[in-house]
Amino acid sequence: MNKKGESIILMIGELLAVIGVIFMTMQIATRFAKSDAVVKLQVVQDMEMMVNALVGEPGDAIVAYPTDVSMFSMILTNEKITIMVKGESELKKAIETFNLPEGFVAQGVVEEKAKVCLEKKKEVITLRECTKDES
Amino acid sequence: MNHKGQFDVARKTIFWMIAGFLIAIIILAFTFTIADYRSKLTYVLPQMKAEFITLRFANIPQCFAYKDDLTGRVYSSTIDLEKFTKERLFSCYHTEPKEGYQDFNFRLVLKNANKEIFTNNYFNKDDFTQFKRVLVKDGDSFKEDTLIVYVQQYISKPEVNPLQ
Repeated sequence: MNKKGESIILMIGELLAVIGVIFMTMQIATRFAKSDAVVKLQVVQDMEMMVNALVGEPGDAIVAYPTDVSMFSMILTNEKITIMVKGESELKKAIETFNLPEGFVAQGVVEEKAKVCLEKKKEVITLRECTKDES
Repeated sequence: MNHKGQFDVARKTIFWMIAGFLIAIIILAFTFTIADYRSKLTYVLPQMKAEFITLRFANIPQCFAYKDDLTGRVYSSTIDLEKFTKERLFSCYHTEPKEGYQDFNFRLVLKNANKEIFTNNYFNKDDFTQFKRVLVKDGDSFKEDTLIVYVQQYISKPEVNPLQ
């Protein structure tokens, strides 16, 4: 191969390498931008604080989560709240734990509902879809 | 290939080895920056988290809030001194016995009543303090007091010596 041919092949290789780097960087940035991970973590932390706030409320109360959370499924139990996108792996679930006073019960499952409410009735905290009046 | 051509190829190979190493570092740094940015976006002040938890101490009868048994009325921000015990605090808030030190733990002090109780995984590591003005019911009298909440935010896991 002559010298000119070699330098063209090298130049094509270099170009491909640069394109590869740009593509990888764009991939990382796009994955981050499209990801629900940040929103999911924010929602789970908000929910945990809402549960603690409801525990500290002497009477009955209802709190509606102010934004659309239809992309998530949520499970509330006595120890934790779990938020996930349907079908995703265990590792990607967002979980926050809390400590309820003795006698308190936390429960509820919501699947891909836009408006979600936390209701406290006596010693029971329930996660459910909001009714039309509540949202 | 002549000597000059071989030298060019070798030079470019070295250049791309160095460039590849630098590019890999840049991509890694970019990934870490995004991860760091993500954790900053989801950061919640521990003081705020603790504030929501400590609401219960002076507000609900299952903790220390005074409840009039005749009327059933709960007096928020009024602490029944009879309830202000370690056992009551355990039923109001306790963390997991084994690894609960990684969670919020509290030392509660009633300043004027001179009483102090703490949660089951509290180890005298006060990260911050909250002050709440309360009334204290002692027998038939109500007195103004300050509930001081010393907050132990987190104790990291102790390192295990593999030789032990």
